[in-house]
Amino acid sequence: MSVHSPILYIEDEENDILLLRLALKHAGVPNPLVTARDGEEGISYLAGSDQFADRNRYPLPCAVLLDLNMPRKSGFEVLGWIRQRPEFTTLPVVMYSSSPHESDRAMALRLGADDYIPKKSKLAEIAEVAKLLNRRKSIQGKRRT
Amino acid sequence: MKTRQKPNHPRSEQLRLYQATFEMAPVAIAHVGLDGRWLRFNDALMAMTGYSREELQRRTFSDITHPEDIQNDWAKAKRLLAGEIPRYSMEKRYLRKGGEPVWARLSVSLVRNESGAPLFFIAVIEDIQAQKEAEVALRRRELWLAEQGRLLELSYDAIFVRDTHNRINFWNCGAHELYGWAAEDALGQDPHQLLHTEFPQPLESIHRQLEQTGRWEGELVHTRRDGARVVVTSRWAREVETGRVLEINRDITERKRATEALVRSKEDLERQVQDRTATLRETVSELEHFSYTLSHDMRAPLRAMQALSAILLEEASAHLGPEHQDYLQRIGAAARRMDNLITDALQYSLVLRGKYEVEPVDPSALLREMIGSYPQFQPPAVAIEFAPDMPPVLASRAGLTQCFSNLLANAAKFVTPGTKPRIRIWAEPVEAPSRRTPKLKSNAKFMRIWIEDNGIGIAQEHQVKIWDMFQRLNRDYEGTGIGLALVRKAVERMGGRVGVESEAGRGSRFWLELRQAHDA
Repeated sequence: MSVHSPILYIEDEENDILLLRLALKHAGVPNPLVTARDGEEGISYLAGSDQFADRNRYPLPCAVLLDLNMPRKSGFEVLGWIRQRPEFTTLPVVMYSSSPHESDRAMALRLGADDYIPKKSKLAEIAEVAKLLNRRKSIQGKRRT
Repeated sequence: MKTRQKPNHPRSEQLRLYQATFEMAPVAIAHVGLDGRWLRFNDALMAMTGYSREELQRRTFSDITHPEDIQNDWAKAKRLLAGEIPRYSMEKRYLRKGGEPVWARLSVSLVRNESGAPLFFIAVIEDIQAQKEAEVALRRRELWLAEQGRLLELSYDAIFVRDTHNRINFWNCGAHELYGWAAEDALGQDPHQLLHTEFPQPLESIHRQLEQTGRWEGELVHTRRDGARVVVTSRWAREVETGRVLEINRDITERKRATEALVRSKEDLERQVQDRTATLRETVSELEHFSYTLSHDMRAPLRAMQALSAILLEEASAHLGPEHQDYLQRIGAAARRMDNLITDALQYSLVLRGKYEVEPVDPSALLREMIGSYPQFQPPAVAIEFAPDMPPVLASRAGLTQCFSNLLANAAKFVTPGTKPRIRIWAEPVEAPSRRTPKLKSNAKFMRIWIEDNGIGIAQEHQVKIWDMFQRLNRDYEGTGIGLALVRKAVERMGGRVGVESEAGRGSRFWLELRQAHDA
């Protein structure tokens, strides 16, 4: 088991998960990546319910990267749920979406996202996202450990 | 004569009385000779004819008679002379001294001597000119009234009069035509009963108004003789002296029906518009959702293609021949182009239906901000020079940003290879209002913002086409063919217009016209 708490990436698009995994490696971020494949699964993971009940196998993340458009529950719904839970009020959540709509960004920030980043298609740019997550989680990590 | 036997004194007294009667009579009295000469006459004749005594003495009665009446007068006089009639009287015209005729009633008798031979006529002439004139006036008035009556009959409107007992005592043809009842049927009837009148308000209040103002006006429903109902506008007027009421009714059944049909069809139309608007709104929102989803879902695989082909190129090129490396490059480029196409199309659809609220925007400040945050618009990539104090224009910040970024990107892109793009931007006021935006105040002042480049230019024949969607003139330069269409749409939505001046090989000068902010 890694000493670093994981980064949770809630995303239904398999390729985006692969790319982020590569980018984290590229950027030298040591934290492992755990994933949930839709909004509902993301909430289950954070709540430690159903198959995620074992916190040893599924430790709480130090940061969440959240896709917007997903089946079952959208990124906004997950974000809303997270910010309602007292234990997660300071959990860094970065919205990562392909939507260019200014209204989506505004909505994400209003719901309490720490950042809103449009999805990138160059590895170097994705690596920047990974580094940003790393910075955010390290502040968080200190506070939590 | 009997008086001759009377004593002198009383006889001369009697003569004097006769004389006075003759002289003072209010009518003209004359003795006329058998030849028609005026023998003796009183002042009244002189007054009536305007002649002096001497003038009359020199004339016969026919000299001062209207030519049309002479013959009749003489004919009667002859019969009198012949003893056929004891006297005659007639209305005739004399001619006054000035020539104007004067009507008179003439009564004539004949004086004979003891043996019966005629001596002279006695004529009593009464001036009836005033009476005649009154008669003419009366006749004229009667004719006028008769004409009025005929005209009333001619009227399309139903016109009738009812007396104080509410009985009809006048009923015109219009009423006959409208209601089917002839005057003989209607006269004497109560019109409200005859026509089953339906009033728009209580009858008492109508009568009250009629009492107070003498008039009433409103819409009534009547039933014709054949049972059909007609709607009329009814105007009542009450004659003060007699209390009779004149009622004039105009048939507006057809008009009423047409109006109602119009109202109904308008309501139908509005309902249809509402229905269709709702359907359209639904369709639009479905389309919005569709394009949103599409952009999201279509771009995800493209991202993977771009990123993974790039990783492959980077990490595995040692194992690949140049041909295969080229293929990988092509995969990446194709994916990128498609990604751009989707992004631009999405932007265009946002411009089409997004909210565009205009506010005063400082173009210089906006450019400064934009150039500051986009490295591709900074040296050494390009040299952009812009007027630092362009006056504010009415625009949407997002819209104008999109316009500038597209125009600047074009200016930076379309240069001959090896040429460093040089871009110059300035503004100038335009007096002539834009013809294409008639909804704007015609006196609105416009600013024209010029964006000049040193690029490849645009041939005259292409200068219209470039503003259309997916028009790409040059395959040597990458692009989606959406940028300028987007610029034009955005400027139009901000109430302005766009244009270009260019020549192939000599650079282009694009312009966009927007309202001046100070003017609004």
